[in-house]
Amino acid sequence: MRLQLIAATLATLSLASPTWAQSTTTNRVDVYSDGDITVISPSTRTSVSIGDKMRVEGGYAVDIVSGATRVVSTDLVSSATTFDEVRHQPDLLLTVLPSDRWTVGFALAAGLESDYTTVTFGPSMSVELFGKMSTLSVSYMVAHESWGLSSGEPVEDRARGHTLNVGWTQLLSRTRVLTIQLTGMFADCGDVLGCQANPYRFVPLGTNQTLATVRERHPGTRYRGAARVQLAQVLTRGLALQAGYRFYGDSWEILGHTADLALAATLLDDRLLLRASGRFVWQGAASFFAERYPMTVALGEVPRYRTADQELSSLYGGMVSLRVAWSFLALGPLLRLEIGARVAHHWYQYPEFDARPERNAWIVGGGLRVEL
Amino acid sequence: MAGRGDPVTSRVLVAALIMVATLALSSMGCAPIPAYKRAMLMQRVVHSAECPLAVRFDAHVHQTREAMAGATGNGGPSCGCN
Repeated sequence: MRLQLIAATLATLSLASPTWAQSTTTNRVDVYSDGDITVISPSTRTSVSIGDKMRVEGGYAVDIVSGATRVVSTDLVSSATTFDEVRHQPDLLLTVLPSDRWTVGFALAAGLESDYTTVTFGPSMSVELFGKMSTLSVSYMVAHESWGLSSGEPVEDRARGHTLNVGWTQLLSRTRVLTIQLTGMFADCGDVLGCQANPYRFVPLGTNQTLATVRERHPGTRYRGAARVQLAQVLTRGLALQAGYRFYGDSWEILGHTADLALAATLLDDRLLLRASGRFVWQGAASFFAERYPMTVALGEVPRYRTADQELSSLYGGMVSLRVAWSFLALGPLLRLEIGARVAHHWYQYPEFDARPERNAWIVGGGLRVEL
Repeated sequence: MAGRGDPVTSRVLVAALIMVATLALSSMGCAPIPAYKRAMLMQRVVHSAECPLAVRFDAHVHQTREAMAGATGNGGPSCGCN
């Protein structure tokens, strides 16, 4: 279920306004590959200031996904079916400055696939307090989601999600900033498949051998909460450190911890930017997760909730990333032209998922950002 | 399945309260810093996180590979420098 992803991303865009920038356009391409799936994602984003008090921002991203997904059959031989799909993601963000301390915004976004549609919208605001030493940010997003199989047995359902983000940023000194962010989410997904279930995914039933397979089914509601604290420290001119920690918990009894660290430096009169970052995650399993579910053959009973989702098992992993960007300043009519590239490596370990106990992925990307 | 009053929700609330308390304590004694003394925080290096397009892509990767979501902190710090 991606509705809350879009909501969370929109909230980030809405709240991320450290400065009232001039008009900008960014174009980039990111590629993800983990051996099973490859995603190529060209995207563009343009922000235009209208006077001193208003900004309109629009974006469009396309995910071109190809790969193979493992299918469980009754003899438990996992076969792989290939697939290709295209996902379109337009969004629009309007931001207004009613005063020099207040920012008010409204965001609208959509995600469109052959068998899936989601629309997300909602307001956001931020206000600077106490001599601009503190910034309070609040956003609320509502998402409507619907899906159905593009072929085969029809399974249709709808979902609605609510996401509330509250952020507080506090200047601690001339070189130190503390940020706290709280997120609460609720999703009502109906009873057909439940939240985040995949209509194409089946779970094996039987204790020692597979007696049958049945479509996975998750609980129809989900409460989620996350809290994050982050400290940014300027070490010296052109060198900054950022460290963060996030705690996550939800009503499916999943608990998680995320820690991240980034070191950034600018060189050559601020033209060259280097940023190295690391991210480490640990996550517990959902209460109803099992790699194999029992079934009482005589009664034909199956567990009410079951999943074949690897991401609902326990996991730990990490990511390292390196970003390089070069800026050309005052280039003709352009205030700044920035060319950037990054490479990242992800790895995950799944101790309870024997069918695929680890996953390694690479992300490479690059783009061009123009400020007018 | 757990409900609103379950241990998981309670842990999230406790974590949130600890963070708010940390913030409150850290805010005490913070004398206002004039805008002209915030030059270090206005540097490009402080706001060097990936652009929103890359942030969105990474968030998608994380959310499809993990069950966690929210409070991603990708917006970067605000310095009140406007």
